[in-house]
Amino acid sequence: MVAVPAIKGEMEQRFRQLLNTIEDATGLEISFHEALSYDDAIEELVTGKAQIGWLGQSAYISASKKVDLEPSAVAFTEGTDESVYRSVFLAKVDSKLSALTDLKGQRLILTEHGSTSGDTMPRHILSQFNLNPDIHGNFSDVIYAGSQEKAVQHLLAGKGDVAAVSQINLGKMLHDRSISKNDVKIIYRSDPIPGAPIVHLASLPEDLKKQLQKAILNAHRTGHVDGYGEHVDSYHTPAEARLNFLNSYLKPAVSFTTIVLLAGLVFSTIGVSIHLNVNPATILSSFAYFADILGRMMPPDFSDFGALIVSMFETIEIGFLGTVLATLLSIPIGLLSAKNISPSKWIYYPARVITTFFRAVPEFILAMILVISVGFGALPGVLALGLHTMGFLSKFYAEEIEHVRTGPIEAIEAVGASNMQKITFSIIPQILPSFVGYSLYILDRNIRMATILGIVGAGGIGYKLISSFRMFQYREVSAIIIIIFVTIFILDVLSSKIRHNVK
Amino acid sequence: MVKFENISKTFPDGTVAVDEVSFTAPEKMLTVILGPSGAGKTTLLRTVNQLVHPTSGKIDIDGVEVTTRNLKIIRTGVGMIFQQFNLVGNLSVLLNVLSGSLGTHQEWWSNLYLFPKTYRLRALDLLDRVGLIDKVYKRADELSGGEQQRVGIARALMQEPKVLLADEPVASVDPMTSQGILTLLKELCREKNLTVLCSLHQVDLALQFSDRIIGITDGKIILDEKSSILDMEKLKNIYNTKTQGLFFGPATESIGDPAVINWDHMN
Ligand SMILES: Nc1ncnc2c1ncn2[C@@H]1O[C@H](COP(=O)(O)OP(=O)(O)O)[C@@H](O)[C@H]1O
Ligand SMILES: [Mg+2]
Repeated sequence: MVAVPAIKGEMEQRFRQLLNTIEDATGLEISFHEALSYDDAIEELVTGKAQIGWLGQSAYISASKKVDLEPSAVAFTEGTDESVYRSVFLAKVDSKLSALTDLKGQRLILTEHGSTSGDTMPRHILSQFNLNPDIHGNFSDVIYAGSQEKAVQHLLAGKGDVAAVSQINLGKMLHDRSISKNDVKIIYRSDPIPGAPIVHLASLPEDLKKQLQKAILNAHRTGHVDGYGEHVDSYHTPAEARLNFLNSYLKPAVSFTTIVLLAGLVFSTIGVSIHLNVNPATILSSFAYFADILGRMMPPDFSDFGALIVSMFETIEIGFLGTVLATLLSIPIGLLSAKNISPSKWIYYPARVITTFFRAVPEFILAMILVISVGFGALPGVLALGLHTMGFLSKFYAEEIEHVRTGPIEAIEAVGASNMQKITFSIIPQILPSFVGYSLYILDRNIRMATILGIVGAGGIGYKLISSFRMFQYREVSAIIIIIFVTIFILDVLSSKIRHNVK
Repeated sequence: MVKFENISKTFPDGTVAVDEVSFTAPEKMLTVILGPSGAGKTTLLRTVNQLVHPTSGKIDIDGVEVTTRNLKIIRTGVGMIFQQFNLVGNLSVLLNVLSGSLGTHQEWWSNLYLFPKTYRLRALDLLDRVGLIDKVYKRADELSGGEQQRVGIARALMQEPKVLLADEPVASVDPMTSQGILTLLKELCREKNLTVLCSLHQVDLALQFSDRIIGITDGKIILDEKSSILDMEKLKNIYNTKTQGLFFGPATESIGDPAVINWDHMN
């Protein structure tokens, strides 16, 4: 067996225990040899001087092009079930380098020609960052230190500014205290590199190959194993190693947080229902009364149709005027309560307080107060709706303005436009569709709410509704409900048509 | 293998986007549809999975004619990657790739974003193949353009397609990244025995990565040759006369290309 000098002078020590275990299991005698370089190791397999090998990942790939090799087993690191490792780029702790993008013009230290973690992988990564070490000018010097350990020593001795080594060798050096955590910092960590397999020549006899592979895979059961890596504890087939690697990225399909949240939702729904005495049985048993009322509402009585339609129109008018008032008020207040364009916090906070206040007080309450102060009729309805929904619209607009894309604003700013022009040219066009959309939605809603406001004396069809109720004229009540329903339905269709066209 | 037989497409407004196109794209080959903006590349590619219905002509995939009746099955076998990547930005990279398997995984629980473990392992395998294994749980819109296109490729591969349609896959990424994406496409074409149809408007990229170039202008094929026997001069001569130099214009097509916007409102 031949191995590449991934940790110079130590490879035999690394693989000896494994080989002893295999020898015991198979009765074969296996000699071991650490090659002088990566290329020598490849050469020994090509010429057949060695039949088994450990080459690291990239020398394995180059060797495969010259001779037919089969992977037999990959090492797992103790406790982690992992078979991958990474390249790391190191700089001295006090260096001002902190990312790969800082490396242009620096001196680069690599380990040895053909090493995966200390040569091939770092070169590949640097090329992706447009820093191919072979292209003149990217680095002021590229040094091959000769081994992973020497690469780190060179870095500490100041012979270069950045060194690329294997995370495994770095871990080992930290472990045996040949360097300290306070000496170096990691400025880049590569994607995972698959751990390299032990390989053999495909031309070996079939049963010998099987016997060898079986011995390696079972080695951890009968004796000690080791190999290249931190605390190797067992060997597995390449397919198993791959699956293990992928599995390590698998998370549970449903996360613990999701389960906790869902369970919380179910429990609080049940708990709240119990607290509020919401009992499904009561709902079912009250069906009889419900049917009785419905029966008395039939058939609807449209004898006062003309008057009802006039009231309905009055309600629509109240909703409309309320919305116009709300929209007009919400433009300045919305602009002033948007954090990104409000002139100062002395304006921003009062504007916020106003919008929050009117949103917090229900229009029903506003209307009751206004009826007392300005008297019965449409006016208190219009004012109540206008003020309450102004609170809503301002908040919508402010939020919409705060979330506009900033690119167009910058572009307009860059041509030297004034602040007002910035608003008209970049903010308004962006929020216009939702501005129209929200206003139409509020109109729709205000007409529905205007019906209810009639009940406290603010005019319209709601007033008729409550009067009929009080006089037990349920057939007129149903007629009014039908008129309201038809009106709302028509408005709904109209407003969705308009909103569609605005977008 | 995809066989186009006399494919034409005339849009309702009278635009003849594709005009009597016939050729066969074999498997394990990267066939580049090369042409200037507006030549009809997008329209031609989209006839394969019938996102555009050809006005006349017929398309065979591995000897099976594409019709409205077998459309669903055909679409499962045809992967597509887009110029604008078309990922779902606020889903994870992994879920974006898994969504590629929705054609075969149609259980009700797929709508709860749940997928069998075998599918999830396969998605991870593909993400490792395209070099994104460390980003699987990131939101898709946190990735760079090149990375997003790799996710797009993994999503298409998740379908285990026989055919891969790539409509200007590198028009929204920088030149360095373009090289990486096209290299990946070419490798995958060989590894997975795919029939790759890739539209491009850059002559140099077409020469560098394709096995064969179909040149089209005004919806018609005006060149069909193995890339190995073509040289830049030959292409230049042909294209300069046909397109008045348009072809060697800016290296990337603008995002506001009217054809692109039209497509979004098509269906
Ligand atoms: N939906 C459509 N309706 C009408 N004309 C279209 C439509 N889509 C594309 N076209 C026209 O068809 C021609 C080819 O477009 P397209 O296939 O997008 O070209 P390419 O992808 O090569 O840039 C262009 O002239 C384009 O304007
Ligand atoms: Mg196009």
